[in-house]
This record gives sequence, structure tokens and C-alpha cells, in this order.
Amino acid sequence: MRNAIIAFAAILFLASCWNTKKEEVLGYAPIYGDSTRLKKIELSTPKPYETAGKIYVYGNTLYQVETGKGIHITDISNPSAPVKTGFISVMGAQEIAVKDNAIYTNNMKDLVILKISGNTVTLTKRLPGSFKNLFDHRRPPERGRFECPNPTKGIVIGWQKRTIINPNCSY
Amino acid sequence: MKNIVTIIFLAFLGIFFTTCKKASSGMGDASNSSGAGGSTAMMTISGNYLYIVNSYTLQTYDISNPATAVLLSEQNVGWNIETIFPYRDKLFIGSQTGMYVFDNSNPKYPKLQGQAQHFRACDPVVADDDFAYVTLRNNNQRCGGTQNVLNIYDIKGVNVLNPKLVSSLNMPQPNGLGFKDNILYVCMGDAGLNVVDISDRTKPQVIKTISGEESFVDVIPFEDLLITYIHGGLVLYDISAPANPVKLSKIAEPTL
Repeated sequence: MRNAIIAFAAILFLASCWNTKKEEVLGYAPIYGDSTRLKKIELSTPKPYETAGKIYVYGNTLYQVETGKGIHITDISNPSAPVKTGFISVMGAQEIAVKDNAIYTNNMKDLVILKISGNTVTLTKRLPGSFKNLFDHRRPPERGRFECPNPTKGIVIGWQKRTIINPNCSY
Repeated sequence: MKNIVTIIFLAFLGIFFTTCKKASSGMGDASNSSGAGGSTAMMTISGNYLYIVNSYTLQTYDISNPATAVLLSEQNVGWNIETIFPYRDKLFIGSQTGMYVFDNSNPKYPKLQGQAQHFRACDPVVADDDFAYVTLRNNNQRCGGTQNVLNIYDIKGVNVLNPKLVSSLNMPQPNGLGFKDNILYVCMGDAGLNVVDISDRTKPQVIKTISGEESFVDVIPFEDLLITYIHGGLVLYDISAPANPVKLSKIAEPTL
């Protein structure tokens, strides 16, 4: 008898999942990151802007966040012709401040202090969890329906608004 | 005799600490002149200290030596804090429901001095000696609210304890803001960049709106340069005549 109830419940549950209608809505989909690259911080040649973020100016250098990905470095000593000089990859980056050539940003929830010398960037200090509320990525930034995160695709490092099909999550 | 020596010693100690305190707040001013952030920042530097607002708390870090940077304190402020802006010996904190002014003359432990409540909205804040400038906008579902307005608060002297609203100016979707002399620059997303004359703080006047293809998010007035953060990159303006920004350059990628 008990088995029968379980079987019946299972059928009901599965039936509720069979949604043959393909419904397209505008909502948030997770952006996945590679967890093995999570703490890797690298200096590279300039990159194009994708989702340009916050800015900080120090002397003749302008630092601009590439949301979730890193920091664009731009030489503005000639403001009529600014030149992008490099890019620091920092996963999760959103915040930026600079003092005495020390660059302060966030690597996911950690505060990281970076220093550039020549063609390399070095990590001076990492303070884990300083931005404790910054990466509550279980939910997208706005209410509504969203694509449920799939843990096999990696860890969620942000959300992207686009057309999504049959989203099963909402809040 | 022993008591006298103790008293003299304590007096010297007192003088020593007072001098220390003055020196450190002065230092904050000097080092801020070489770097600046936008009004929508959650992290800022003042002197040898770094401040992070974290939804409902304010953290203070000693960064005098970056290699041994350390968290000095964390204090509760209020709910839904979004922005922090340093000015001289004060820190201005914007939350979705109000503006908080912290006395930062002891930069190791900023102390709440006053606050102004407002309707629920997203609200960056900047300030000078006597006034604080706050924008409220409703577009973001995250923040809620119904107002789209620039508010100016009197924070002169004891007014800081209970900042007094001296004027309000409606504008579409105001976001990041910054000032130079008597001119305030207010970003309004796709609606452009408002150039506002604030010579009379009780009667702010929009003298110009720069609009076009750019969607403005935040600004940093930096000497004669106005650095604007737009969707997709940045635009630089010459503001040697603050009321009349002249576009110098733009680095941006087309956005979706």
C-alpha cells in the first residue's frame, strides 16, 4: 500500500514536470564561472568593454571595472586621446579604489590588494569575505522568473538579462 | 611629589594624543586629492583607511601598509546601504531609505553624527562643507520607490545632526552625481547628463542637459576633467569652465 502511494506521488510529480509548451520570457539567466580560475589574477593587454562598471581615478590613470571580470587600465594623461594600457582579470570584480599604486578591488567576496610592476600583477594581500553581501548570487538582481542555476555548469558569478525558455525558478 | 610627576606625565600624554588626532585627519584630506571614486561606490579610501559598506554594516580597514592591511572595526548602520562617499573628516553613506553622515575625525572608528530619512529609492550621495546632494530614483525594481528627484540637504554646523532638506528638483532617473564649484553634474541614464547650477542651494537650476547616444551612470569631477562612466565605457569632458563641459574623448564599445 505504502509503495503504491509513493508510486502515485512520483507519477504526479513527473506529470507536473511535463511542460511541452515552449514559453519564451525576458528574465535572468545565470553567468557561470570556472571555479578553478576563481582566484587567478592576471595582467594582460587591453580588452574591449563588455559591461563597463565603476570608475576610480588616481593621478593620470583611470581604472574602470569590467563587471564580474576585472579592471581596465587607461592612461588619461592626454584626456583628448586616452589610451587603454592593460587589463587585470579578477573574477567577480565590482568595486575599485586606488592609493599609492596599490589597487583595491574584490575577487568575488574577498578584498584583494594588487600591485602592478612591469608586465605582472602581484597579490599583496587577500582579506577573505570582506564583501560578504556582494555575492549572494542565489537570486538575480530583480524579482521575477529566472533560469534555475545548474551546478554542473560551474558556479554562478552573475546574472544576465535575456530571453529565456521555460524558466522554472522565480521569487 | 610622585602625584605631580604622574599628572605631568598624563598631561603630556594628553597633548600627544590630541596632536596625533589632528595630524591624521589632515592627512586624509591630502591623500584624497590624488585619487577619487564615483558616487555609486561601495568602497572608498580616506587617508590610511579603507571603508566598505556591506548592505547593513560599515567596515574600517587600516591600509597604512597594504601588505598587513587589517579590519579594525565593523559597525551596524542601517538597512540596504548602497554607497559611501568621503569628504574631509566625514563619510556620507547612502541607503535605500536614507542618508547617514559619519564623523570621521577619528578615522579608525567613524561615528554616526546624523541622518536624514527619505522615501524608498536608490540614492547615491556626495557632499561639500555645508551641503549634501542626494539623488533618488525609482527605475530599479531592486530599490522600489516612486520618486525621481535631486535633494539638497543643509549639513552646516549642528544641522548635520539632523540634515534639513533645502530643495528638491525633479529629473528623470537621476543616478550618480558629482560637483565642481557651483556646478553639479547629475547622470540620468539614457536621459543624459544634467548640468545644474547650485549657486543658490535653495533654488538649483538645470542650465544644460547633455544627451545623445550615451547612457550616463556616474561621474568623477577631477580638477579640470569630468570623467563619466557610461554604459559601455567612458567619456571625458573638459570642465575648466564648469558650466560648460566640452567633450574631449570617448572610449566605449557598442552595447546591447
